[in-house]
Amino acid sequence: MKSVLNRSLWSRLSVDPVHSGRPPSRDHRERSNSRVFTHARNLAALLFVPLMYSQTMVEHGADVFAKTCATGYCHGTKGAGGGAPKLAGRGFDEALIVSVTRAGVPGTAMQGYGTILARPDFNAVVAYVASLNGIEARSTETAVRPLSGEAARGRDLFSDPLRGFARCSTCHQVDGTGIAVAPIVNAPASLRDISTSHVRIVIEGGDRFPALVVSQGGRRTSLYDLSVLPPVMRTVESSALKVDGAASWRHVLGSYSDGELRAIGAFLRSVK
Amino acid sequence: MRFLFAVLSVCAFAEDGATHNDWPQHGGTSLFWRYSALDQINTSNVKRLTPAWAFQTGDYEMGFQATPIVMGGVLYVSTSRNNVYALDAATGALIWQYKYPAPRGAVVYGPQNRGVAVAAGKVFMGTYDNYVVAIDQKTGAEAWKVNVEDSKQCGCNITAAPLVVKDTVIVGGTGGDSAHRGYLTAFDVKNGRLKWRFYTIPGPGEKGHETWKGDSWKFGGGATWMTGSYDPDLNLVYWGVGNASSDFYAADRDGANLYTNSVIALDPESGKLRWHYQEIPKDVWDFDSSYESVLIDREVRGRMRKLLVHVNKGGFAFVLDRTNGEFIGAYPIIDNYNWITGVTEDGKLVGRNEPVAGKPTYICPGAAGGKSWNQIAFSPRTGFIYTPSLEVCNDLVAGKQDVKEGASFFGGNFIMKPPPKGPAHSHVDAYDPVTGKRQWSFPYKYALLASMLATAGDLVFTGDPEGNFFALDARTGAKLWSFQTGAGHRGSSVTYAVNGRQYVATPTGWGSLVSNALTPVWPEAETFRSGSTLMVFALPESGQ
Repeated sequence: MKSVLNRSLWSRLSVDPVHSGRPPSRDHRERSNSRVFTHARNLAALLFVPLMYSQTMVEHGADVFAKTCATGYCHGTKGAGGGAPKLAGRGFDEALIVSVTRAGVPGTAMQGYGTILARPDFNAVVAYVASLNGIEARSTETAVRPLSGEAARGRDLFSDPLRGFARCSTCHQVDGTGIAVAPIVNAPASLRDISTSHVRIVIEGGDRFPALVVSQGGRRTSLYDLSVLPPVMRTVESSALKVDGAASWRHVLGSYSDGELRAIGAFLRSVK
Repeated sequence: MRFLFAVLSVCAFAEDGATHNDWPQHGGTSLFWRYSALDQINTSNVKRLTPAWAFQTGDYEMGFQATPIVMGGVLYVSTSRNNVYALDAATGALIWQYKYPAPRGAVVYGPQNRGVAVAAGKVFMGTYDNYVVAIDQKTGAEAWKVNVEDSKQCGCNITAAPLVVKDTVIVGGTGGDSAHRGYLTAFDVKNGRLKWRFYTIPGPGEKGHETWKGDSWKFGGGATWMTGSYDPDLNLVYWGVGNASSDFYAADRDGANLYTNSVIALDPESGKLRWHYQEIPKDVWDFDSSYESVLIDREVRGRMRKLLVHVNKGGFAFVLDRTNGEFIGAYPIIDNYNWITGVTEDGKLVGRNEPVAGKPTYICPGAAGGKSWNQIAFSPRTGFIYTPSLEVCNDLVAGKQDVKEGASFFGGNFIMKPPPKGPAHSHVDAYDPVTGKRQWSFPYKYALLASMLATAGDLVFTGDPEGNFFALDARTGAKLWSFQTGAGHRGSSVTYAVNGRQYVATPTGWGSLVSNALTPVWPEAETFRSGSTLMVFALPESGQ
């Protein structure tokens, strides 16, 4: 394994000189890389300069890859390919590896890991896939927007799986999580005060139900039927419907306590 | 002779599970026999079978995995990206098409679809981004669409055909290899409103919750990724439940892990559990029990019983009393198995061979299964079930994995390996469904991953990955006819009649997770062709 340090960056950072000329012993190299990397990483995080891949990062990436990417029907051991494409020796450049790992490939099983993997794991797996393609140094670091403790709790509550359908994400999408039935506009300080005056009463035969009308015109009307969660997008003959006045429908917030709603509010404000 | 058999058959079995002119449900009928009473095409004339028409969908990603539905001379079929076509079943002419909008971003498990359900004037389908849609049966216009759960969050989507019981449409989902808690969800056929949800893993305070350690129940698998059966007399829905997660590493979920790897019986109106039978407690091999349940009535030890025959990924057929879930018997449908040494007379697994953390353990069959999801068939005329088996093993490595909701959660990895003696291969067999006595075996050198279709013409139809669609003699296993369709087979053929002419329709087009992962044992798998063409066969019209 060759040195994985980016020398020009190294010299810019002006820390202790690394080995030059004669290669150091393996032990020395690993210790040195690890120490130097930590130092450089701290500086890099501070200065937003490109990071380098260290041997430990690549090794950690290999571990993440084995558990996450090589599994089952996907990329195979060491990226040799399986159900999903081979990743080793493909001549991928870093930008491609970062963007595909982060965002996935639309229409395929390759999901974006930008939000699934913790940042150190993400960077490490990119470093590993880069190493499978002969790339040994470069950047993956981007500024991460930190959430406050309360906002982070709010994010989890927003899409809390233990609440079944009685959670915000059943109807709202924030930061890519949830179903975009209705946008969140001007969330008030107290979420219990959200106005829902745009929810209408719809009469269809003998059935009266609250609905969010999406389009009404011509022969067909599209609406979200809010009788029960989850909302149902329905397309009905306009002649079979009557859209009445505002419904007394209220948000289904019953599963959340006041404190939990405050946390969700903090989350919504922080991602604005 | 044939007449005599027919009379005997009627005496032995109610013909409830047979289809006639239509192929109205995913498994033929709700009893899931995949058997048609049509016999115009039979052992004496099948060699004259010839293409009648073909329909190319153009949507070949992950292959063409569907079971067509035929009702009143119209054939309904879905593709992997959830496009639906209504076709004239006699000519292939397009009546309407429904193009599903492409979801933004990636989709967990990729685009795959195994069929629609048609009932109450609508065509129902689960989608690869985890919605259920209802389409007007006459016009193809979307009537309603409802999200089951955010696909990216749950690591799940829908590939299976829905099951409609009266005014309820029931859908299962994938997610067994994700950090996911499985469930079935039921909607009102009229307006898509939620009727019930049944979690396959009991929550705190529910019976069975004690079979999970700590928080492991929250993401313990139990996906319901194939289609259930329904017995109208007992008014019970039967569904197979998939593996526990993480698949191979179980130290964090020590316990039986109910109701993973079980058959569950539910009330279709309320979704309440009536009984369950767990085939594999604490699964550590990814041996889903999510496959089809075949409902037949047969004499067992002198007494007529209402039975359920269910093959799981471990390569064992389980026979249960479907009134109460009582274990009747179990038998292997594969030759190579070492994950257990057998099953006792009261249904206990003996000699478990479990993977260990950090080093490979050679296990047969492999995680792809002694049988994949392609479905078995039952003929009341022969009294046999027809099963597709895979003789493939794997090296399993277990490993502790941090859990993150919706993310991949295998807890290890597998590499396919050939069985101990000789190369990987597969076979179609005929078995007595109760005793497991093998009647005949049809061997094949690669993986047979298309469903079985049995007919009253005493034929068994299926297809192979090289592109051949073929017919076997249901009594002897002799190959009577074969046709090269040009692409591999991973779907489920059906048969139906229009204006007195019998047709056999099969999707062609290789693909799916398992199909795409076979190269370690079959390098030739690189040559198996994808595609997405419905091929339809019939006998030449008279005079030709």
